Amino acid sequence: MTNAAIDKSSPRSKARIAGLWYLVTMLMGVITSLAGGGFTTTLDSIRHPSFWLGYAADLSMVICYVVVTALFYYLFRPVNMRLSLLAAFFSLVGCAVQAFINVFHIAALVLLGGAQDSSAFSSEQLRVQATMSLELYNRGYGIAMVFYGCYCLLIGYFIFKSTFLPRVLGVLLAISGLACLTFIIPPLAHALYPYNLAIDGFGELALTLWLLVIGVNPQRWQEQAGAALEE
Amino acid sequence: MAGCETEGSQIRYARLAGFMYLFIMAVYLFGVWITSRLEVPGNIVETAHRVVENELLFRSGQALGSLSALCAVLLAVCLYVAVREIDRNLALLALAFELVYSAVGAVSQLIDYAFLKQRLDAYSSNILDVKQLSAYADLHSFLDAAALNIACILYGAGSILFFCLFLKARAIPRILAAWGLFGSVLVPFTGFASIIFPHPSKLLQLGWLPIFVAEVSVGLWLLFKGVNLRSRENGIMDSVVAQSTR
Repeated sequence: MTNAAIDKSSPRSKARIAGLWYLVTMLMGVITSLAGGGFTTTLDSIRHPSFWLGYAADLSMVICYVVVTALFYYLFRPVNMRLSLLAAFFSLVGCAVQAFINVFHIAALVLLGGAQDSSAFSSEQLRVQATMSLELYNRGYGIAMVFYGCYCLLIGYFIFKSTFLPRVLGVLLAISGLACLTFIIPPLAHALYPYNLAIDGFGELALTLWLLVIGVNPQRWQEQAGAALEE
Repeated sequence: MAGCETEGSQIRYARLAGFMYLFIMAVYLFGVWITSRLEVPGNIVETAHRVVENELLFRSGQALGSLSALCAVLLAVCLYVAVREIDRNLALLALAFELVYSAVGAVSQLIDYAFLKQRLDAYSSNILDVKQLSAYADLHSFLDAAALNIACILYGAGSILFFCLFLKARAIPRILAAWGLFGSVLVPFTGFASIIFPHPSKLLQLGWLPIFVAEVSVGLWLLFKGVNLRSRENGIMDSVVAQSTR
């Protein structure tokens, strides 16, 4: 295989790898929800052993999304190098927020799990504090979603401007981004829930499947990368 | 000429990375040492009294934690520049993990500040009794450990990639790179196990030891020897030859 052949096959294989990691990210999200983790966590589910499965899946989702971010940065660099870097920063900030807010689940678990001196607070006081911890998680999740929304909007723009992916995917992802951005006003996000998450999921799933099954057009990717280098 | 300048800059960044490895460790441990000196195990009232008496010192200890998170960004960038010629994409991914780790590490300092404020307010106004203060102190230590472990899971992912690149390019002695890789692989497992078992056994605590040894030794090596560019070029050539013969 010549170096040129390696280079030409590279964007398509990278797109497929990105699609695979995106799919794993989404699967982790589903596992998180099914196991009663993430934003579906309640005071009852937190004491269930499956909570740890959801917790692990939630953290794994962040790790997978960092990989997706790095691969997307590579993939969309030919469209706009600076904006692609900005998009990656949006995503990484979202990942950092999402990773950190897991601390609030631990707080609720400690409060309800009796790891502390149980005579210090009444059970009602502990429940109130644990509920507040879960609420803080949900607020933090909303903040992460706003950053993911900006990221999806930019990725949608890149797809729309690119010549190596169909424009309709760009439109779908921009709509996903707008759905995520509803979290900027929590009452609005609450009113639109779960439709906003369903719309977000649809756009992301469409992109994932496209990348996984078809990938990108390597020739057009090379042309756009070459044009970007000349600019 | 340009190539020589690039090599020189990469060696400088590698040396700076070595310095940052050691500096971060020293700053972080010094901060922990300061705050732990003010804490009296099992006596929250005496601890609160000491913290109020030495508020500036306590805050300085916490500020050192923030400084180490900030320096972790510099370390990540230095390592990225030092290894990006080996595999730009993997180096970028490692940088991304380290940036997220630094952000989580920096934000987790908020937990310390929130509990410090609570302790000071509770001490001055007597709104919490001793048992409640003690319960919050326990919660504080659990959350602090959880945040650190979450951050370490991300740090481990980035560190695995950096040491993989060092090993692949033979930029540092293979034994050091392999030990660093071994230590980095243990980090996410130890971090996650420490979250699930908040009162870990001493055996689990040993999981942090290999990365500590690796960072000190690699830090010293990078600081004094830099990276071996000739070995690295050979490593890159090997991978190119391997790719072309496939």
